[in-house]
Amino acid sequence: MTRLEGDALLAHPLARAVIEVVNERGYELAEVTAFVARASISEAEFYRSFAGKAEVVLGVLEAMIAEFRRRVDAAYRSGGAWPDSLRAAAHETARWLLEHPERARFAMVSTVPAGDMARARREGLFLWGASLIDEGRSVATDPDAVPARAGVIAIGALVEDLRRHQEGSLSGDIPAALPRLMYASVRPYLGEAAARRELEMPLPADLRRHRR
Amino acid sequence: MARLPEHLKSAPTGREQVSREVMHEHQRDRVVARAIPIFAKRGYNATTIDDLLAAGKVGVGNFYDLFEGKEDCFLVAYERVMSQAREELEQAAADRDDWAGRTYLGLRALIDFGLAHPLEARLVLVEAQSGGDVALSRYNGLLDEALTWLRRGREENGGARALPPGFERASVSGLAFYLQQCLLEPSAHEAEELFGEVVGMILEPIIGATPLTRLRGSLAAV
Repeated sequence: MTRLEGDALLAHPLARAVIEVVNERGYELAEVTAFVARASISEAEFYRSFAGKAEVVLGVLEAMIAEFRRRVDAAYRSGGAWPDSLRAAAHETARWLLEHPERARFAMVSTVPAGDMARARREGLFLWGASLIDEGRSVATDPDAVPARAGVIAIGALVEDLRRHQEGSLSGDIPAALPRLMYASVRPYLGEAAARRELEMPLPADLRRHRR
Repeated sequence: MARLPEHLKSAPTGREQVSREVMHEHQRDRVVARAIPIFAKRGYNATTIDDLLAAGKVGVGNFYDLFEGKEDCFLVAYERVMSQAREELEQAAADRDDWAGRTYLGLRALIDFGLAHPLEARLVLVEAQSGGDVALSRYNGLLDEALTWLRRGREENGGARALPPGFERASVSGLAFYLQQCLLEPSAHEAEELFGEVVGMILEPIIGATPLTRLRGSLAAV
């Protein structure tokens, strides 16, 4: 049998089992025996692909990050010029989060105690998001005046909000937060007037339906 | 009735209790000081009680006399760092009573603190997120405190009232994430560069570019 990884892992019952068990019990208390029982596979089958809990959790996290990035990158690349491209990416991010709340919780909250490798994967994703925001530098009227880490600060607003949403310590719905996150992302590059236009941009119909 | 000579009398009970409490606090402080770099370097979850015993040079019984367990030790460490940081921020802004000046100097002190004490800063801004529910709620409380402070800036600066709702939350979240990245990235950061960026992203939208330039000029020597 080939090793389970990437999309094959994400489509396998084991990935769903890992996500559910880690979300329910927390990383520390989640055990391989629970993963295999929930996925209805044997321990032998599990250990043919993974050395243990840390490896399967990291594998699932990597697979979901790769899938998320493909989707958001495709939206960004077909979104037109910046900031339209960034808005398209933000909308696709919101769709993914609404479609996969359990994956979002797994990535943003449940796997925080999962060690440095998991943290590095998450950080890598966030910095990739920051790089999409920072492509605004290419259309900025004065690129030299844009703070060097404007993209990092802007993505941080999204990341921290998401973390607190997932924890339940911040109320409000995801689509409602999009205009102000776009405002914070656009302002350093194109200025106040362009940022303010983001506040007036209508949400796509599919996301409007999720407004509470 | 004959009285005991002075040197044979026992010390007053109250004094003895205070002395024991002081000893206890002193020992707790010592263990916490040594636990901070362990939590920061290994991460909260990877840190074991054995690591803390070895670093603090205490036995297991003694450790549990001082703390309820790992989480309690972490929370004491968190509070100790926060108390030190608050003191430094307060001192830095003590000469100003205006919101903008206090914010400017407070941000400067915050960055200086993070660069001077990277392990302590990492404990509060990074490890607190995995240090259990209480630590996480204190970390969230810290962000909410910063949020309240920035909202006060909107109230005191007429121009900032036009900022969109949620601007302060985005600023605080962005700042927290940015500082975390600086702490996780081992490369050296220049205080001036970091400070310039943070002030430009957080303070300038609230007070405006011209007042910020004036403020920079008036506080340049600070």
